[in-house]
Order: sequence, then structure tokens, then C-alpha cells
Amino acid sequence: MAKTILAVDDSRSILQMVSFTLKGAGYAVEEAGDGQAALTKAAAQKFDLVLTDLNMPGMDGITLVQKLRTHPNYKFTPILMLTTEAGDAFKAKGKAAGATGWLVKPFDPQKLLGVVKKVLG
Amino acid sequence: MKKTTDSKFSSGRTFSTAGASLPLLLPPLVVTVAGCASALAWPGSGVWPVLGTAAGWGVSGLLLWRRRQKNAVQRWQAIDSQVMQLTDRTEELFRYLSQQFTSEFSHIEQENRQVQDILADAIDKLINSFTGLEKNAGQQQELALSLAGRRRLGDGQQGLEGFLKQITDVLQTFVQAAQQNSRVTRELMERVQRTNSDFQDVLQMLTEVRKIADQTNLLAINAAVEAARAGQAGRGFAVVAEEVRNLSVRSNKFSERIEESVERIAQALRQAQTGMEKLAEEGTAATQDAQQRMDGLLGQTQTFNSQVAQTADSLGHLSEEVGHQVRSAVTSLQFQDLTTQVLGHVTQRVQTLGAVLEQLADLALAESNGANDAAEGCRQRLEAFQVGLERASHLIEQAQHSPVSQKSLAEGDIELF
Repeated sequence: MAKTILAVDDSRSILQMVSFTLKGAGYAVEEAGDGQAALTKAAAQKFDLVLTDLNMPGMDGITLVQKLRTHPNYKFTPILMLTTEAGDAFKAKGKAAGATGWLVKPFDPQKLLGVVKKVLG
Repeated sequence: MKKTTDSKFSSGRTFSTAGASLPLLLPPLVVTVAGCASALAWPGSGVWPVLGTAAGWGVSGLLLWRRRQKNAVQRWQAIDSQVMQLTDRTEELFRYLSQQFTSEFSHIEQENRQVQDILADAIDKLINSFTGLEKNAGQQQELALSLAGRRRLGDGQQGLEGFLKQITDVLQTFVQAAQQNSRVTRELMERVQRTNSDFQDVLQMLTEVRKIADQTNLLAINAAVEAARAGQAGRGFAVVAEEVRNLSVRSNKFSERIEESVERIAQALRQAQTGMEKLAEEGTAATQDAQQRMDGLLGQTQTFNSQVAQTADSLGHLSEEVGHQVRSAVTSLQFQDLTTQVLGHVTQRVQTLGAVLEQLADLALAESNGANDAAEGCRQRLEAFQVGLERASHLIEQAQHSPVSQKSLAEGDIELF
């Protein structure tokens, strides 16, 4: 049974590239265009990993992480931030919200797979 | 704007007092001269000339003050009129500029969105092209490996290597069968040769039989002669001698028939031997030729298979290279997301500039809230100006942070908490 990953980003191209990379490695990937859509999908299905952008219209990535951590299914689920923000202040906010890791765009597909494999154990 | 306000504020303080006219000094001078003259003419006239002089100066001073007041009011009204005209023109200019900037900002936003849409569309197609390219490269590698026989194609299907191996096995079986046939033919030929030799012995023996029959015939003739000499006593012996001679003649004829039969058989055997010799020679040559051809074919097959394997390996390397290039392209193609965010931030900055300009334009157009007093109106405008500047500063601060810190398309950092 393939591990399931929820990819969240308001950029369609990023979603395409993340899906292409992860599906090529055998993962099952679901896509969401913003935080609210991600919450809806996360409530309907238990994902093994959430990979989310930070700056999104409506609900941003930090808020999404905070809300997911309040959900019983996602208390210990790895949540990675994939964003263009590289400042320490933002990283500190992400860490405080409960994010597992911080990846700065653009991502290298091989290294993204390496991090995903690592956090999924 | 500030200049206009300053002009208005300073308009009441900058008019000149140097315009006091000389005719106003004429009455007191006349009164003074008249007083001095009366005092000289009538030395005992007392204080009246002095009082008259003072009164004249007082009236002149009053007239002078009223004249200055009137001039000041007229100048104030003229300056105020000019300031109002300037204010109206400035307001019109601000209104015009505000409209123009709003229109320009709108165009910038539209063109910004247009660029983002074009980028998104192009990147979408590029991503599909690259992902399709990698899939095709992978399939090409699979097909090449299958062609080289390194992987099974499916149920009961093998690659070129297996196919060629089966053909080689079949050819090898044919060559071995041909070699076996050649050996058997040679053995048969040897047996025919031995049989032919045996027939020659039989013919030799038949010659001896004929000689014996001829001698028997001669003896029978001699016996008949002797029986004739014996007369009546030898008549029986003559009959026997005749029978013996007949037997020898029949024996000769039988020997001839046997000899003829044996000769035909020997002739047939020789023909068979000749055929077998030819067959053996041709079989040997054909077998050697087939062996050589098969060896050559095997060599070519091995060479071809080796080339196919090398090609498959090359294709495999190329597929890996394509995969590497596609991954690099995936990294680079993320520039669309980065540039979209940068362009979005540019839009935000433009919107901020528009909002700031709007604040300033509103300030220029702001009324003094119905206050009749000029100072109160100015104070209200100053307060509105301050509020507008604070709002503008807040908007500018909000637009300060750029969401994209990358300066190139080098991969970003990774940090696990």
C-alpha cells in the first residue's frame, strides 16, 4: 500500500512538479490549492504526510499547520513547509505551529524525495 | 500642496507698510505751520497753537491707520484670491494625476496578470512536455532492454537474444544430422565396395565352373567316342556320355546366366557406389559449408547482440541522463512560482503607491469641514494630512517584505526541526 501525501500550494505548476516527483517514487499524492481545501481533504482521508506552501490566499500555511495539529489524526503526522520564505522569523513561526521541516523553493526533486523518505521513516 | 498652504498662511504677514502716502502728512504739517505762525504773531495766545498742532497730528494718524487697514484688507483679499486659484488648480492637477496614476496602475496590474497567465500557461505545457519526455525515455529504455533479451516481454515471449539462441540450436541440430548422414553414407559405401569385391569372387568362381563344364563336355565327347568303338557293348555308355555332355552344356548356360545376373548386380552396386560417393562428398561439403555459415551466423548474431546490448546500455544511460535533466528542469521551472510571487509583490507595491497617491489626492480635495475660520480650516487640513501620511506609511511598511528572498534558481535550503 503506497504512502499517501497531501500537497498544498496555490501554484498549479508547483503542485504538478511535486506530484510528478512523488508519484514517480511510488507515493499516492492528493492536491489542494489552499489551506481550506487541504483541511477538507485531510478530514476526509488520513494522509501519511502533508507538504504545504506558506503564502496562500485565504488560509496560509502556518494556520493550516496549527489547525491540522488540533486534529486527532494529525497530531504526529509529518508536516513539511515548502515555501519561498527563507527568513528565520518565518521558520520559527512554522516550528512553533508544529511543522516538521522547512524546505525553501526551488526544490530539487531528488532531495525532496530524500526528505520525504526520511520523515516517513 | 505644502507650498500652497504656506502661501496662504503667510499671505497675511507679508504685505508691506511702505506705501504710506505723503499727502496724509500734509494736514498736520499745515496745522503745525499755522500754529507756529500764530504763536509768533500772537505771543500771548497760550496753549491753543500747541493743542491745534497735536489735534492735527492726531487726525492725520487716524486717517493714516484707516488707510493702511483698508490697503491691508485689499491685499489680503487679492492674495487669498490667488491662493484659492492656486488651490483650485492644484486640486485639479491632483485629481488629474490621481486619475492618470489610477489608470496606469490598473494597466500595470492587468499587464502583470497577463505576464503571470502567460508564464503559467507556458510552464504548464513545459512541465507536461518534460514529464512526458521522461516517461517516454523510461519506456524506450524498457523496450531496448527487452529487445536485448535482458527482460522478458511477456508470457511466452522472449527478446532477440532468446530468439537467436533458438535459431542457433535448430541450425546446430541440422548440421549434426547432416554430419551423421555423411558418416552413414560412407559406411554404406564401404559395405558396397566389400559386396562388389565379393561379387568379383563369385564371377571368378563361375569362370572355374565354366572351365569344369567345358572339361566335362570334352570328357563326355571322348567317352562317346570310346563307346562307339566298343560297339553294342558300349551303347549304354554312349547314352551316359551324351547325358553328361548335355549336363555340361546346361551347366555352362547356367553359369552364363549367373554371370550375367552377377554382372548386372555388380554394375548396379558400382552405380550405387558412385552415387553414394557423390552424395558423401556433397554431404561433407554441404555440412562443412553449413557449419561455416552457422559459425559465421553465430558470430554475427553475437556481434549484433552485443551491439544491441551496448545500444540498450547507452539508451539506459541516456534515459538516466534525460531523467537527470528533467529533474534539473523541474527545479528550474519553479521560477514561474517565484516570479509570480515577485510579480504579485510588485503589484502590491504598485497598489500601495496608488493608495498613497489616493491619500494625498484626498488630502488636497479635503474640505475644511465647514469651518469658516481660516486657521481652523488649516488645522483640520493639517490633521487630515497627518492621518493620510500615517496611512500611507503603514501601507508602505506592509509592502516592504518581499515573499521571495532567492536571487537565483539554485535549490533552496532544507531544515528539519
